[in-house]
Amino acid sequence: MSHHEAHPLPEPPGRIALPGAVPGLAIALVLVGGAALGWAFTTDAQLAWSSYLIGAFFALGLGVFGAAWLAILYLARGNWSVTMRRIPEAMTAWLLPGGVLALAAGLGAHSLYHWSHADVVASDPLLLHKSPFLNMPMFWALTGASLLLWVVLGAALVGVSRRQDREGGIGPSRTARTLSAVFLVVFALTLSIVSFYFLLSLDAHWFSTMWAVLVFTDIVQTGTAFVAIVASWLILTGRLKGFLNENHLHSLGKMVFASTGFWAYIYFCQHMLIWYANLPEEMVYFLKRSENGWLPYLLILPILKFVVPFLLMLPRDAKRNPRKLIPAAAIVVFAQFWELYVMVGPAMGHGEHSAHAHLPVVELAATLGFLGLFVLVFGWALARHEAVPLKDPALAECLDYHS
Amino acid sequence: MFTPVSKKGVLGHFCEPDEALAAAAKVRDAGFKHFDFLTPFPIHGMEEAMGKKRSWIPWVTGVLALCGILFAQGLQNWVMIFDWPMNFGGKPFWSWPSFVPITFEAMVFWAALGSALVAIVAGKRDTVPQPPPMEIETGATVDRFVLWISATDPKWSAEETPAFVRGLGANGVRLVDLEGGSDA
Repeated sequence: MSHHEAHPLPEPPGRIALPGAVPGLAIALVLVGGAALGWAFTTDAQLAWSSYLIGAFFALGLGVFGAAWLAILYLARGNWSVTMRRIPEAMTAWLLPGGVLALAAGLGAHSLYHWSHADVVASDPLLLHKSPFLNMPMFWALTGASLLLWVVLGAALVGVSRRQDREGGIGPSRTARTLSAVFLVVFALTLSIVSFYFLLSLDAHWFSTMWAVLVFTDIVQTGTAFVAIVASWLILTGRLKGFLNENHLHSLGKMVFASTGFWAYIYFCQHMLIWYANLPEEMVYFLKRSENGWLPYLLILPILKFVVPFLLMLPRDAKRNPRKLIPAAAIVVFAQFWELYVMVGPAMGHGEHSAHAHLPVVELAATLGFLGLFVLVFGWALARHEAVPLKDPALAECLDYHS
Repeated sequence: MFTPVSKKGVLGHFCEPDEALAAAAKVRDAGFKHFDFLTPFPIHGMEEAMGKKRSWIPWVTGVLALCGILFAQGLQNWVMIFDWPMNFGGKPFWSWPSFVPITFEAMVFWAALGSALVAIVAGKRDTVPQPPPMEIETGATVDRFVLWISATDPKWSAEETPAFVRGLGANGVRLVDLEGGSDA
């Protein structure tokens, strides 16, 4: 069409490396996290493994979000996001190392999971009933297979994009859409498995039909927030000048905002149904998080994860201005750590030995360590390829995007 | 409540949305206020090109949302605690989790319905004087992007404005004058 000739392609940005201070900071975080975990392993195995699980799952969520986000955008033809596609692509690079690290949490099953003790299961009818699912061989097989599927399908999704970088044309876009449909079905099932084994089975007596969708919401909220931080940085530094502007950021900000609202909806749904029915086997989850000093940690969660980011991101300008979006997104990312702490921390120990609430120092250090490692892998993957998919047929539409 | 109509002005049309955007920016820069674009679909970026300010409707939405919250909370607390307290499953009268869905729905209902009504009324009131409906090219609902400059604009000039519109590259430029003037 004639009017597209009015916009000559901006100067291609080449490859983009994270600014020098970021890898340095990330290495420092890895060292701090490693040291904290190392200290914890020599003193308190339960603290160490719970911190490890929080950090590993936090980073794994960011990694798998990359693949899920690619799939969602391909399938929904979210052409507004073409110029920021490299961000989720680089996030999927974490799936292999992050998947292995997350799987390693199974080595600490004895400290983490009540159901991994054969003697406890033998004397507990409920756990015995669940033991065909909750046992270590099944844990390794099902979580391992799920993580492997993520690695393979994530690599395939990125691979299609690489093919388009070489060949151009609409063909790879079509392949990517088919692959995305396959991945999202697989993702729905495997995320349920992974979230059941790693997190839900911490409270092995308890169950929640909202669990998988809650963890999915967490992953989308945190992941979009992470992408928003990177995209904001790219806009602020002008690295993708002409390719990425406040219109693209606006739509991305709306996704962070929407998933923030969706989180409140899902978390409240889980809470209200349990509160209404008032069944002992369901109430135990919130009772446990109201005793032993956990109540303040539970009550801070909706404030951090919903109230504050919701109010911060409510104005239109807060989603278009990178300087305003970065702090709101950073709170969302921190809130994800908080939620994992409220999921994992109170589930440690049982009966008289139930864990008492404490400031999550080791947990935070471990999570920052995993985040640092994630950022290093992310930055490495981001710098490997041209920062914009120049041969995507939808590029022109993306450059013209208004929101 | 009725859309204001100006009986005098100039009409011209463009064939491409990008041409319409460029023309709108030039009309804006020339200092016109009483002009409008009649297009078959919304054109992204048209508000900026026409020099429109941000709408104040979001503030109405926000205030109405707060009113909806206050209404639902007030109603439920008054009815469920004071006016007609009932025992549901042994729960306390003040059972805030059960109030949340109603509060949410009332917020959405008040905000959405109120915004839509206010937008319709305000849109009629605040719009620039429109061309007489029968004068508009029918292509405005198909594939033409119709520019209208009303004679009520302070910068209007019966001689220069049609020439100005022609200079923008518009097709089928014509002067509309239903005021009965013989000099049209």
